[in-house]
Amino acid sequence: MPEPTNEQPTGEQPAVEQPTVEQSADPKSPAAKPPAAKPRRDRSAADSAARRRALAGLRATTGGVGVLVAAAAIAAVGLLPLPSFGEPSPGLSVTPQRTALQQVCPGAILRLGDDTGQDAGTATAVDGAVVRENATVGSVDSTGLPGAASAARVITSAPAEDALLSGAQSQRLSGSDLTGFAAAGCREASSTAWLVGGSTTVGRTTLLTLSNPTGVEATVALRIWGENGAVSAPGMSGIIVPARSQRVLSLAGFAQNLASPMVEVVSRGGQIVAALQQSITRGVDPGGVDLIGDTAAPSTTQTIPGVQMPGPDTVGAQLGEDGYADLASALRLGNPGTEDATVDVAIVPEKKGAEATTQRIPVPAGTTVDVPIEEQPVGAYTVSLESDVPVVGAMRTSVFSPAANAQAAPKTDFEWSVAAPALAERSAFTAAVGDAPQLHLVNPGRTAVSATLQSAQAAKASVLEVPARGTLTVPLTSGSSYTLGDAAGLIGSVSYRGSGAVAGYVIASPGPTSSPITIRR
Amino acid sequence: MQPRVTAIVVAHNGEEHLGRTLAALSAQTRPVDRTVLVDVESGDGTAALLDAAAGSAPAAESIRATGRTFGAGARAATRTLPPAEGADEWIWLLAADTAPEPAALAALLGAVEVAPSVAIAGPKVVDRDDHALLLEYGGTMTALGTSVALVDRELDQAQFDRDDDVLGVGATGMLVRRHVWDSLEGFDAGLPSTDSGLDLSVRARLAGHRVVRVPSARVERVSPPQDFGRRRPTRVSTRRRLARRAQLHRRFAYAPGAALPIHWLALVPLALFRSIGHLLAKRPSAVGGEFAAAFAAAFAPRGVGAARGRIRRHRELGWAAVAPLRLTGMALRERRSSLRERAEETRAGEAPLVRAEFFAGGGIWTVLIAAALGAGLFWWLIGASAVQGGGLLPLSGSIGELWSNALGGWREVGVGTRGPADPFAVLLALLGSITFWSPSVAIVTLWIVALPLAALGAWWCATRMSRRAWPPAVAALLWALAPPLLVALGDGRIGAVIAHLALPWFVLALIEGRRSWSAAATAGLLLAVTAAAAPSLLPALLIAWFGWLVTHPRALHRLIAVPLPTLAVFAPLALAQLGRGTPLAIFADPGVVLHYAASSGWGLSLLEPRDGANGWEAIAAAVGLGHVYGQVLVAALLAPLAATALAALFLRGSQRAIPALVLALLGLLTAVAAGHLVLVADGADAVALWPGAGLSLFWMGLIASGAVALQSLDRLGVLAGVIVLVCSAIAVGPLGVGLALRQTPAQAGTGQTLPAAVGAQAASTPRITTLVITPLADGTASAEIVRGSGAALDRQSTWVATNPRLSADERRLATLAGNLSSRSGLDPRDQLRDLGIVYVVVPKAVDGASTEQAAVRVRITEALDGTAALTPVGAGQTRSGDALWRVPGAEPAEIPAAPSVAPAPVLTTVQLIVLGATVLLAVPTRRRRRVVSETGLPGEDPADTFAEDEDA
Repeated sequence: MPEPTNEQPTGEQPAVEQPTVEQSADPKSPAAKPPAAKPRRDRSAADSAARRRALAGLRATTGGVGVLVAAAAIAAVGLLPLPSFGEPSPGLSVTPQRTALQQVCPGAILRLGDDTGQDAGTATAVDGAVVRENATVGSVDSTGLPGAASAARVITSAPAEDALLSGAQSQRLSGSDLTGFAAAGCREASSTAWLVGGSTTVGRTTLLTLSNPTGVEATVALRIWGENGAVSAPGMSGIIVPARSQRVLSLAGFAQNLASPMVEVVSRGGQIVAALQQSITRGVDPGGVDLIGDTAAPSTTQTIPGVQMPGPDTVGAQLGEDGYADLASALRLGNPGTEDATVDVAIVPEKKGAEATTQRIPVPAGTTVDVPIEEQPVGAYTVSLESDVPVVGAMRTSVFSPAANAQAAPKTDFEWSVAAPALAERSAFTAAVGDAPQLHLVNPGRTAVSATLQSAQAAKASVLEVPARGTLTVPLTSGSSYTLGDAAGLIGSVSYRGSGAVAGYVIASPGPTSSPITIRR
Repeated sequence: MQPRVTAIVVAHNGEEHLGRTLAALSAQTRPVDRTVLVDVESGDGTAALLDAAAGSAPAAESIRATGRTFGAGARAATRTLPPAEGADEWIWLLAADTAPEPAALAALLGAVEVAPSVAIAGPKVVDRDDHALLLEYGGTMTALGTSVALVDRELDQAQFDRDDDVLGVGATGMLVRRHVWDSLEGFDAGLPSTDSGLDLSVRARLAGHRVVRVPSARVERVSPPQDFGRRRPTRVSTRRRLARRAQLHRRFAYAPGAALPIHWLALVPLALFRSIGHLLAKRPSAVGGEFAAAFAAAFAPRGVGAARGRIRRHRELGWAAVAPLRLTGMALRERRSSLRERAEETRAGEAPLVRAEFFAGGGIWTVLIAAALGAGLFWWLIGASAVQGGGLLPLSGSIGELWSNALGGWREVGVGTRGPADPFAVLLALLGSITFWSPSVAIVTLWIVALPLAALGAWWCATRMSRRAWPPAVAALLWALAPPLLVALGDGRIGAVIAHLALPWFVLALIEGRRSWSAAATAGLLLAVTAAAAPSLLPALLIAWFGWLVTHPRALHRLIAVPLPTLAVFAPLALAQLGRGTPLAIFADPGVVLHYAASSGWGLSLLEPRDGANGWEAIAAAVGLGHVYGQVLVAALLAPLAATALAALFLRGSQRAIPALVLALLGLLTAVAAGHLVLVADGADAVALWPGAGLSLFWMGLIASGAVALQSLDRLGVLAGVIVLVCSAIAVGPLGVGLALRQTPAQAGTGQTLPAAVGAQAASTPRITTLVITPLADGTASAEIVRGSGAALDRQSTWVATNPRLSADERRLATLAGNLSSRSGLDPRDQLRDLGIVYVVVPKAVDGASTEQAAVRVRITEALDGTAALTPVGAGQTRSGDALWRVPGAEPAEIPAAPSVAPAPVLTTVQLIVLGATVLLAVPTRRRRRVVSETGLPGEDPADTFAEDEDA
């Protein structure tokens, strides 16, 4: 610490108790100095010069040492790598308590109005759907969604390690106004759903069902796009779906005469299962029904597995008839973004050795495009889309058998095959009751995948080799449930095809929101 | 009849002076009739000497006595004498070092012969070397019984020769009538040295006799009577204790019986009050003696009953008879003030202090310039009610809460744990109490006046480094524009700001503490303040204190206790951290844990606490140069100061520059060490200690050395000072611009940290509990419990933050938060009710959030939306952007049981005693040193005549 030089030097200060008399004896006090100063100075002039030189030398030395120490310190601070010391506390990885597995099956086909045609504002169910469900661990509790117009069912199974729940429903209609076969898988509730399909032109009825199986009220907002761009209509946001209930909305109530609608459903609060139901009536002839589940979220690559093309013979002849334009196969592409998209479409037959058809389709921003697809030979196909901008897509195919006689109606049905999301390591699915269900597994990757398929009844799993960039089709037993293992990255769907019946649905893995999360202080 | 005089010489280890005494005794003009030589337990050759003297002289005998006091020896001697034959028999009491003048006995006898009523006569007690210096000549009492010496070390100019009658005389050289001595039973055994003569005289007066002092009789004395029987001479504090003990004994002996219980009960409270008085009068060594005397008088009274009995037996007159002889009123005040003046005069012999004047020498201008700069940088804070952001939070709303958080016990941060308080909380409580109507305003005021306060402190400190007016002004402005200070102000690091403001005052107090008790006590308090604000400075400051202590051993008694208040304040936290096994956590920065980008070692030596070359890297990048040019530019701008500081080693006055540069090195090393000590985490980032406090010390060392150099450079110093100032001001330019343009994290705020809905309810229910789940940058989340209207600065706790493991309560909270953030099967209602949570808040997304952060935020908000146990408030999104949920039906009044554990009372009492004593000692009560400003112009040295040895 610096010695302050701000004082004139004196001798030791006497303690307070000593009398002031003693100060006169202090040899260095100023009073004693002047008489002795003069002779002292003459004598010590040479001494003080020498002392000054010595002091200067001492200062130079200390200065040099000081500069060296400073340089060394700064160099050490700058160059020496010092380790960090100490470890703050890590967070706690919390694995959420397993929640009960819950899925919603959309329920029966709805018609606006009852059998007699009255009460056109209310949707009523036509008969009932046949539901099959299964849980890999424990039992499944299947309850109806109270007050749901379509008698949707909620299947629940108790939480357990590595448990998977799956379910599917199907319904065959053969009435005078509604015929056809519709199948759908039971899906988990989520907060966002993309629905590509349906139409609100004359004779085409599209109903949007929002089912809320959770105990929390859901506030839903819709966004609808059509061939002319986004649709805005009152009532598209703030749709309240109370807890454990269902709301049915007619798409025509928002957008009439929309030939190629696409819907995004976003819910806050409780989560919902959204689905579209479309029925076609051509004149007095029923044209089929379909249940459309949600498609994969917008992405630059989409894969639509298990597309059942009817072949040019059956539908081709009928296409020219009035009102039968939508019997043709069509691919609906939707671009919800703000940039125009260019989509490369590849229609790959599942049969080995057959050639794929490719097209390049531009899709303007904020619109949907229905691309007519040239009728391919009958069979199952995989449609893959590659775009520069995230898009969604679904494929419509139909079957047609002409009427047996003049009084009968032709047997026709249609199906929307939607894009499927990539599967996780393990998933479960159920093949709904229907004719000849088939499992389609698509491997979009570059390496072959060996997946295992285990039926709920079978003891052993069978190994499925899905080649790279290829497809594997496996016949399933109607009504039984299966577990897919080692299927990470694959894309799967179940399809049905019979006379006058075509339907299908995608296989989805459980959602990611139950993964562990690390919580810190 | 002829008076017969018996001389009694009582000796203990007095062979050094005994010869002179015995010779003086035998040289008396009026010889003594009989001599009794008493040896009281001597260890040296006193006994042999006395025996030889007794053998060689007629009518002299030598006896041995026990008891090691003068009174015991005298009593033993009188017991050997034959009984008194008349009223004219006298005894003359002498000690081994009291040699009477030849005419002493004659003078004494001459005074008492003609006055038969006189029972005791006392001579002048003079100094051996100077017979004109009166050591003692009579004593008296005040109205309350304090003994006062009528004469104490004054030159004898016959001014006292007039008044003969006194209340009492000292025991040295006292001439007492034998029969009075026998009837009064000699000296009181409970008064071994002090006041023994006074007490005998008072009793003699009460018995109707007179006591006189005789001007022409002189007795030499070498050592004071308290030294009798001791191996070493007594110290001042011992004498004071003995005097107090004697006074208490006399009080118990003289007081009326009814008042005795009151006196007994008042002993300790009186000791307390008197100790406070001693501390205020800067006599800390007297405190111990005060309490020792009080406890001894209370629990070990020596012969009080016997003394009272003696008085009762022989009392003829009442106390009113001696009342005129007491020293009261005007005379007492005169005497006390003359003693004070004498003490002041001895202190006035100190040399005056040569430094620049504050008002005339530029200090006021420097402070005003700094105030203008401060107002320019913080114009946006004027009128704000709180400053928030970065490391700043508002203070608790009420003084009571501030102070209860400052004591140990229930810490309300997090889930709530029991633990010691940070010393910093006491600082915040003091700060908040200044603006007791709204404590957060104190922080706003601190921010606005930070620059002028820094300049003020640095100016005063620099006046001890240099005599001229110019260097302190430069030093003050450099300190106010220090890069660590501006960075800390911008980031909201209040601990570093307070440490920066307190450092120059601490160094000033330490420098002055060599010669002043109040400065040393102030240094102790300021060390506690600085260490509480920035504990990372503690090692460096302790090393500095130790170095100062070692180089000034004469001031050991003043400087040794400087760390004591710091120890007292840190004791609870230090003990707890040691007990937990995390001793390094004592150095954790208090306040909010704030992440910063660490700078490299080069950066630290360029005064950058965090990465970015204090803003120059961004400018370099904007201009298009590589960002290393930022550091190069800062190095070039700080080079003049570094050159000046190092040049001080080569110039005159280098002995002051060396400690300053050592301090700078200590600061740099502290900064480096702090930057590598990781103790806490801010969310996902581990945070090292803030190196800015060490850099403040580094800057201080450089400036101090620079001031010394400027002082020695004379005319060149003015130019050098201007260059240094301009370059350093440019170096902090980007920081200042950032502050003025409000680009910093610290912003004016309203005092609300939670959404307004919570704040509104918290106004009526102060303990309302909110769970805050914050998404973090690496895809994790942090969960914390906040009470009342939001987090407060005084509720933060390093005890909780430095816990290396999550406590059980924190794990419970983390599990609850993790389940709430996911689709989970847990029913959180019970746990929410247990914790008393009413609201759940997810703070709004920050700009530039990473994708993981956005994804986890979506997951958390969706999961919270989907829980039936919570209902969204305000459509789940309040106006501030925070997402808010409420637990329906939660009772805000349902307070989780807060075990109100009082802090350890013993520890708190000790802390309060240490701090209270330091504060009392720090109150300045003595007159200041004389201040002289240097009159020479730069270039003109003061006259060499008296400063010949200055360069040594």
